Amino acid sequence: MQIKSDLKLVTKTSDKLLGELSALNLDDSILFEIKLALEEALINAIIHGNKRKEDLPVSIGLSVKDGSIEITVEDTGCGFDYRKIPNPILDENMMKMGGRGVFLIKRLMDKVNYNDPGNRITMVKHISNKK
Amino acid sequence: MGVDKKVVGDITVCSLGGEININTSPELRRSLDGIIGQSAKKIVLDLDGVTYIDSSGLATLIEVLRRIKREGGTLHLCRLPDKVRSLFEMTKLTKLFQIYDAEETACANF
Repeated sequence: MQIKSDLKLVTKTSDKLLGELSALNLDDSILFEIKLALEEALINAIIHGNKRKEDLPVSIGLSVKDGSIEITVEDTGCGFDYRKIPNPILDENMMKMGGRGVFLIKRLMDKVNYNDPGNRITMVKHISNKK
Repeated sequence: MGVDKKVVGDITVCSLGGEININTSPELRRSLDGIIGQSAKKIVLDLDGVTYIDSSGLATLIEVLRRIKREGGTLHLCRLPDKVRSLFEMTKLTKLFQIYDAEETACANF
């Protein structure tokens, strides 16, 4: 699916995608983690990737296979160097306002990859034995 | 996202409810800025009703903490739901905030 780069669509989009997972009867805590990772990825794509230019699309993919959920979020921006994100849990970064989105995604999901140049994130959550 | 305020002696207790996300965080910040602007120096945020918080919500709480400290006040958090508490632990925000299990202890420890 594709959405416009409108932050008001973030919750609606995650509600829709999580709705597609309802048949899996996942535990609330797993759904919370997937929702948060997905919304953080959408927000990053809209704000940092597409620079809030509403007409630019964000593409979202969702698949369930082999006991895992895989979600991709792709913007049309020129990407970023995901290896250079400051660690938000270091003392010198604790009081900073931003920088926690990607950190949370990496902590909440089991596998996270970016393409090069960094405008598409792929997030995997293992769901076997987590129902 | 809702904010219910009550005043207990010289302590202002704000009960937050609903989702604190990229779209509701500005409203929360405005509400709490208004309360801080009324010279409240001892503030408790009761998070029991919070069903979801994202990184912008966490950033808003940090911003509120910074403003309260700048004004010479103190902020306590209480009754964090398990999912919210786990995010605070994950991001080490437990080191920044004074967090209590109950409103009574949050109020008693100023």
